[in-house]
Amino acid sequence: MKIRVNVTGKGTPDDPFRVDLPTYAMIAGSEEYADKARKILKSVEVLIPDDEVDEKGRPSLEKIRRKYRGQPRWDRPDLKLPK
Amino acid sequence: MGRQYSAGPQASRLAWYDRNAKGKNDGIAVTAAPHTITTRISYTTPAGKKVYLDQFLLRIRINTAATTAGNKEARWEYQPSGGSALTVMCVELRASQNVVDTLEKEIAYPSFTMYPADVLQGRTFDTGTGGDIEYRLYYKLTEFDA
Repeated sequence: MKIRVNVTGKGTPDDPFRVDLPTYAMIAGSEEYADKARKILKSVEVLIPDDEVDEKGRPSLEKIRRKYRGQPRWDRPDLKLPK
Repeated sequence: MGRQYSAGPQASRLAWYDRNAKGKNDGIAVTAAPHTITTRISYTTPAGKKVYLDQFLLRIRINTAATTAGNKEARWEYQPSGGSALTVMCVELRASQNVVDTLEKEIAYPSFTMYPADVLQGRTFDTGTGGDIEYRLYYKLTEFDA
C-alpha cells in the first residue's frame, strides 16, 4: 500500500531522517521539504505491507501491534503512528 | 530388522523451509541531490517469524557531477533487537570521485538469521553540493515460522 507520511529525525547519524514505521520503502521523487534549501524533509510517500493498513488505507495501530506483538518498540499501549 | 533407535521428539519439527517459508524482496531506486543521512528502506522481523537474509545489493552512480563533491554512500545496517546498529555492507564514492558514470556496486550473499524485532535498514547520504547520485538498494530474504 502506498501512503504519504511525515518524516522524523534530524538527518544526523544518530537521528537520521526516517519514517516511524517498522517496514517501508520510500518512493523516489515523492519528497516534500519543510526547508528545501537545507534539505529538511517533511513528508514522503512510502510503500508499506498490506497487512499493516486499515480499511481506509492508513497504518493500523491494531494490526501493527499484533504483527509485532511482544516487541517493545511497536507493541505498546501508547504507540503513535506517523500522520 | 527393526529400527535400533527411535527418531525422537525433534523429528516431528519441520525443517525451516517447510514452515510457511516465503521469499520476500524489496528495494529502492532513487536519484537524489546531496542530502543528510536518510533511512530510505526498513524491514522489521515480525513476531513469531525468523528470517534468513539471502542477498543484498547496493549501487551508487554519479548521474550529474557535483559543484563541490562530497562523500557519497549507501549502506545496509542491521540492528539486533534492542541493540545498536551494525553496518553489514556499504559502498562509498569519495569526494575525489566526481566524474559522471563513476559507479560502485556490491552484491553480497550474507549468512545470518534475523529474529523477531531485528531490523534491517538501508541508508544513503551525500555531503557534496549540487549534482545528483543514483542509489539502488535491494534485499531478498526468506521469512518462515520461528
